[in-house]
Amino acid sequence: MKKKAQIQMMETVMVLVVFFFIIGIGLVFFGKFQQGAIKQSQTEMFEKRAVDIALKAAYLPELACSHGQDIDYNCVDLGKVLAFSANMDKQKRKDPAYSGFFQFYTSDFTTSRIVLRIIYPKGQPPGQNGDISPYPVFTIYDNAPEMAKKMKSFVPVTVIDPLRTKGKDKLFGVLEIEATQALLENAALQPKTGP
Amino acid sequence: MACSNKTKKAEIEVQFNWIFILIVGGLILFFFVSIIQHQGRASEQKLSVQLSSEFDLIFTGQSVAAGTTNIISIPKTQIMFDCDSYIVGSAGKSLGNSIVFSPKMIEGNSLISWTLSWNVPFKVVNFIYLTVPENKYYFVGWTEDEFQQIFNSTYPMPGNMNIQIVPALQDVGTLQHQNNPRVRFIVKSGAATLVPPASFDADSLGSRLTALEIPAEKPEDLYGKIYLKFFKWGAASFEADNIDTSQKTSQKTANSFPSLGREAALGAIFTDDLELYSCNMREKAEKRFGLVKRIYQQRASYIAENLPKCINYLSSGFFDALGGPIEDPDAFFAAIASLEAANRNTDRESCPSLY
Repeated sequence: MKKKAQIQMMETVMVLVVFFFIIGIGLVFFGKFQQGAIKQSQTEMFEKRAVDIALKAAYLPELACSHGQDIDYNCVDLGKVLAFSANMDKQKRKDPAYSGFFQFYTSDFTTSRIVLRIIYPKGQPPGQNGDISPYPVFTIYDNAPEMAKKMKSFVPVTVIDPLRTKGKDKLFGVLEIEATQALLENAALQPKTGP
Repeated sequence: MACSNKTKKAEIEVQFNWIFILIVGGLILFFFVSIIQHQGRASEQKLSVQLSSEFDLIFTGQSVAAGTTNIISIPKTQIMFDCDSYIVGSAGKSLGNSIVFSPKMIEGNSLISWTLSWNVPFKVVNFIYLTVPENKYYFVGWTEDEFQQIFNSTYPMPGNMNIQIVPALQDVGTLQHQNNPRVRFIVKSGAATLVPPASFDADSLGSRLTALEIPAEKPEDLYGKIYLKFFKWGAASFEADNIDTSQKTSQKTANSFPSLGREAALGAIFTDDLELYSCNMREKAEKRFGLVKRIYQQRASYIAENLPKCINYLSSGFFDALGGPIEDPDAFFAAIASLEAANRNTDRESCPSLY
């Protein structure tokens, strides 16, 4: 009788063990699936942030061609680009006169890199007085860490050099916006408990 | 005796079985309930994060397209705004450099978003205005024509906004409360003496009942000539909203704020809190203005150095008179007029424009 009860007890315990074992396996699979979903949503969020930064850079009034209050957003003013990148210069960032400028834009561009590349005319176009003035690549903003996952966006733009009077000869360039994965950590996307 | 023992043993076994079932059943039930609760919390948080991420794109989209109005359907949720960030559900997100004028808390199924560009005289930034159709705005002291001229010219306010014009202060007594979650009176004068009718149940509306005094007779007044005064419902009347004077605030702007153009004045209509408005204008708009001005100044110097024939028309000195807009708004708008004239001269002389 005692043995029969023991067997019955063992049976019940075994059923429970198998039950929890199956639940455990289910949870492991669910966890794996959730992990994949989290990774995917992280990638999606990264892509969204990259688009966000690209949009902000492409529509920055500090760079866009303007005539009075009219702004041409598909166009970049080289005079403004030179001024903007001079203020963003890495060497000058420690100078209080420049650090505020850099700090202000970090909340929008976080850990990204924005570059203007002139692609037409190629080579070294003639300057104002027929001399040779090369158009280098202009670094507009650079706060991207070297070792990070990167995503590049390209925004084609016309470029006006204000020295080439009244923008008769337009240049053609591309805004290269390189967003890095590290920017997600700076995106202040943490749960909050109250206002 | 043996039979009685056997029966007792069987009874204990049956009872033990039930206790065992109860304990194990309870454990299993607890296990599943806690999983469900955890999942519920996780999905709530996920929704908040997703929503805030969507809002981020909306704000960016809005901040690049001036003059646009959008009605955005959202799940019924609370969005709290402060100067630097917003909170949707349990997820907070930074606003970056975007300037958003909205009530401190927004709740509804659809969001009205509107964008205008702040040009002083060059474009500095796009202001984003947010509200919900349920919030009520009473414009007291202006006729329909005056309202259109002062507040609704060029880019009219969104059609879905719940606006009512009340031509005279004494007409306020005839208004009927329509159970709006937030009510804002925008009055030409006498906000401190304004008392909403009993149907408004002002005490239960509390901080959701606010007023703004804009002493504007004509559209030009909004450009540096007047101060905007913010009021909150107190014990029995509207009381002036104040900013902590230990902040970098002058005595003059501790309970009011200069009107820096129509776009900025409209911002005060959408924002129901002086501190939030002041932070947006002082910490973001004025700061951004300084940086954009610096770019134009350096650009002018660069052109003047390289185009000697334009040196008299493209001096960075033209921008020097444009000081801080908040401390001396009158001088600021006078300097804008001079800069506009100087910019027209560059066109006449076939030089690149100043801005």
